Amino acid sequence: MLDGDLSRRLIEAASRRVSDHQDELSRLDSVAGDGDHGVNMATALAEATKRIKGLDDPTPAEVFRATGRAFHDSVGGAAGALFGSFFGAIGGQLNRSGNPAAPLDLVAGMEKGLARVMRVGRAEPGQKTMVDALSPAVSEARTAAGAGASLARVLGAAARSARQGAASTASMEPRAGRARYAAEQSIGTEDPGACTVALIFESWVETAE
Amino acid sequence: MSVRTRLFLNNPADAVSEMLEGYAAAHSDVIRLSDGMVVRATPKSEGRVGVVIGNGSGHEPAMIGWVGEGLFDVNVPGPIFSSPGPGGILDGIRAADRGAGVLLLVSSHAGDIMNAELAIDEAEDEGIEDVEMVILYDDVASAPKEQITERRGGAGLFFVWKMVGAIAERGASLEDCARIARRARHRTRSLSAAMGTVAHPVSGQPLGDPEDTSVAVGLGVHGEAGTRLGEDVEADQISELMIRRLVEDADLPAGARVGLLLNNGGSLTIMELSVLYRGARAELERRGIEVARSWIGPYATTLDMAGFAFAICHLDDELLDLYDAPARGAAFVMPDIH
Repeated sequence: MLDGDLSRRLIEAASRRVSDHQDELSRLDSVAGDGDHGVNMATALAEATKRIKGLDDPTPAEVFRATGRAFHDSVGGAAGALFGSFFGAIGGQLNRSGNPAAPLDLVAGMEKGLARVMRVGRAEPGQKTMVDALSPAVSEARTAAGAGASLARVLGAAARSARQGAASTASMEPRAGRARYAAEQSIGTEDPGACTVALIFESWVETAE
Repeated sequence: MSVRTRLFLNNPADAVSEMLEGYAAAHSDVIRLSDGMVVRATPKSEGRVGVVIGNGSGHEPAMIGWVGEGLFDVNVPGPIFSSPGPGGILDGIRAADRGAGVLLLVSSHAGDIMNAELAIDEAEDEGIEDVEMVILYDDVASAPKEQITERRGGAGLFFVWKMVGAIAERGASLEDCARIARRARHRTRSLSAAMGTVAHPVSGQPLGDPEDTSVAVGLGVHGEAGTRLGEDVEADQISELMIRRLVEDADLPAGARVGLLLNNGGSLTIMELSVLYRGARAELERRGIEVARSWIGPYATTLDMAGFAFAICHLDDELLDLYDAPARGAAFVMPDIH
């Protein structure tokens, strides 16, 4: 089950993992973007961690909403808007669930988040964006949660699919976002946003176990 | 050619906030800082449409130098090359509101549009009405003409800001301000060129291939790649090629009157700019197009990129009148002489 304390530890774990990989993410971003994705994601998650520390015994909903706002306030850009909307949507959904939340509640939040990312980013699967990691991750998490799996197993399914999804973006041609102006250069390189999604879910599996 | 990776900065993470403090202090007669936003030192009179824009930093003097009389009311600077978040833009909308509605202008880039839309949603949720958003684009390299709304914002938006700022200052309605934004957009085209690349000041990563020293046409303002022309191409050839592309894309007939902008993308010398301008002017004259107004200088830069952009705006009496209207920002002044 997902309580406020575990939610906080999930965000902290994501922050450490993304921070450890920020140079690699920025390098991926420099191929078709402006080379700051890793820095931005690490900055936003560090800000989220700081804000959550300032909350007194927060609910899971409060943790995820604070994370969403930290992305919106501290990095901006497309990635700030999209990741912020993703975490904010999870927070909004968990606000309507019990505390602690069940794996199915988190999955429902992730589905809301995916829908919002696709709407805000005008992105569909197959366009070389974070959606290519997020969409299979959410769908596998739904299958696992529907079968009654534990939170760790649900997140494990999400992490594996997210990683495969991120790897699949290497051969794709970008069709949404700024990378579409450098379509040729970006073939052969994984989408940095999709890689960040995979890193976050991978950090969550270990934390939930 | 090497990429300059060391800049005269303190902690790079503080570069944007320290830049804003220094810039605002140096231009305190025109602007001041308010909660991280650049606002006019003397606010526009009540009852006039407020004009606001959020944008990534690293493009100065855009847009911090474009706040002032006859220009923007508020600029919300984001991190380097990243739009500010929805909260910041919403603050900007509030700060620009003089009781006659607010026009939120957006240079078309994925992050800028997303955050502006999220901000408009939040404004609606808070009961703030009378906010209109217009998405601006002009860069002919970014999408074919048949998909013109997919194009990104480039240096030509210079003309849009100037004309919208002028009509808002005169007290036009929100609807009329938005109409001018769309008209100016419709009649404006830009194209950029550069050699080499620049490094991101925070990550230190080059934005493009640091080994490639050829000239590229059609880059984006964040170093998005363009088409390579090779190394031996002369200035006149580049100017001619770029002007031809702009004129053809805009279907400009002989006899048309244009405003011609030559934007310094960062580190070009006045010598290079003047030679490039000379070539562009000659090509326009060959085509029978009258250059009624010109502006050369750094408007929207990409840090210290060795690059530039040409933009043309097809003027008519209304747009020319708005272009000539007085304006006073830190980086752009139109004297009251017309």
